Amino acid sequence: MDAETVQLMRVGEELLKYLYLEGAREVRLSFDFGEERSSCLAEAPHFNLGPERLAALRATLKGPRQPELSEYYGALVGKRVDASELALASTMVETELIVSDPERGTRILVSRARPQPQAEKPRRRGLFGRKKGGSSGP
Amino acid sequence: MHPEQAPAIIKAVRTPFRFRAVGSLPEDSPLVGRVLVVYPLVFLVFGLALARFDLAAVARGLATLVREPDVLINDYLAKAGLGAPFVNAGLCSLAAALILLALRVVPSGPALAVVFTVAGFSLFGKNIYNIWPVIAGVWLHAQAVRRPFSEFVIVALFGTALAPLVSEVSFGFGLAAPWNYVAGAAAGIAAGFFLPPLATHLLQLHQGYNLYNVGLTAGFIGTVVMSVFRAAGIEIPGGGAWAKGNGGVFIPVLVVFFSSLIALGAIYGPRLGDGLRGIIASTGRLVSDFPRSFGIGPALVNMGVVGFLGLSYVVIVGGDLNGPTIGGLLTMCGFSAFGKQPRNVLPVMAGVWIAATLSRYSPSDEGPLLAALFGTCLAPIAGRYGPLAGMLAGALHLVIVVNVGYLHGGLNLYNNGFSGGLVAGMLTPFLEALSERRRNRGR
Repeated sequence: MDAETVQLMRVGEELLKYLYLEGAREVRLSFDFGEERSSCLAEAPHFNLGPERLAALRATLKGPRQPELSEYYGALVGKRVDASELALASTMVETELIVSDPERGTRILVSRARPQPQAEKPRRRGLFGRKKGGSSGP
Repeated sequence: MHPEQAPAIIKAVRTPFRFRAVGSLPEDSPLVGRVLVVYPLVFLVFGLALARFDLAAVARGLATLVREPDVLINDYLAKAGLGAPFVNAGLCSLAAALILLALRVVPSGPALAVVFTVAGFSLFGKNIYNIWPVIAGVWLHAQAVRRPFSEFVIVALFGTALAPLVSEVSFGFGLAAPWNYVAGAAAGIAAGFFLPPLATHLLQLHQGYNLYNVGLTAGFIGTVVMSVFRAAGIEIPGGGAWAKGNGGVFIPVLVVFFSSLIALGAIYGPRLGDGLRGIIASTGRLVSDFPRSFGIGPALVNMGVVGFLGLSYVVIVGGDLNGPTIGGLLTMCGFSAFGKQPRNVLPVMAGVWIAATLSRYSPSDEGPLLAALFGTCLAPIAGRYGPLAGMLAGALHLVIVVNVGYLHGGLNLYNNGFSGGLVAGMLTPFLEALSERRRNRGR
């Protein structure tokens, strides 16, 4: 399992914990691990946050992704049983969707772009025209 | 699909699991960025003004503080006059701010904390020569693990806590030039290289209850390095420089400094009250990014208020205002954008004061005075478990911090962060068990 997958799973745990702490007792988590982007959907079908908590949640998840925070302090996400770390989790993902109403329940969709592997740099040629850093033989 | 825009400020709720007021960082970022650059420039100009704009004197002062040993406690104000240390603080913190901005790090609470911390410690240990190898070491680590340096830059800048190692190896071992510079740089790079994974790992020890996590990390690295030095028969000289007095010069300046933060916050803080209530309700546990969560206005006001609390403590106990204590005030101020607030710092300071009063120490002594200021790294304990727990943490911190300095021989400038990490690591499992019991009883 790579670091990207682990990070998204931790965010999923935080969403699960958030919904549980807010009172939801039926929560479904689903993940989609794509090549370029992975996403996590947390659904609480019969649970309505109400306008005040919904606005607070939207504002919490509104901020930009902050890798300088999440790659260092992200180790704390999904580990605590006594407090929510959703604000920290929000530095690790982009928020795609937040809805909550009495009919549809609550849905939170977050996603995270996978860092694309850097294109291999063309090998420099050595003094005698031979490529550096590799065997020249078959 | 994107979420609809929501009202940015929500009334703070005191229950532990509820989400509190939330600010709007994207809109506030430019202002935070300006604060990051302007305040270092203020230090720079203030230093030049103290030296009466005598550039030759400033250059001589900078050369002195670069060559002097930097292990704790080496007050630059006692060694290089009043002007050069503030010029040094301005240059080092400006460099930190520009690195953050160049790497497109989102200007928020951690950025403010790190820039003010670098400024503060540049009055007693960090300088324009010794901070770079540690930063280069972290950069090298980023290259080794093929990640962008921007992901490690906060650790790199806090990691300059180990800057005295560079100075000691460069100037304290009697090596001939240029090998002394090479050896100093190599030592700093090696220390920086090991910092990031260790810093991340040690977060687990205290679970975010010690705000100076890199201090804990640097304490362990410094202890290993110092143990090797002692095994090789190498003793580290230096320390013991502490400027007396200067209150008449610095009290008015610090009053203006902290007032300017409050004024700036009030000007740029619409619905200030809601944001401040949210900050006060926050536990302050890592990661509590106040500008991100509550807006830059309330965060700046909080920085100014906490700065005033620290200054009041120093004045009330009759402590000296010098490099280390002003450094403590600036660090408190910076971390008030990243976890500290009046409700969680006061119990810790009270605990340090009580322990100092009851013990053989005096609250105005060097160690207890710095413990009261820097010991507020344990503020999240008061924020989470209440004022009594905060006072207990402060008292324990004082008795431990005056002993752990020997382990790293003063090579780690964040000695209080080292002690704070040990206190939080020992205390929080116990407090959590009590808290859990109370929660279960309440059901």
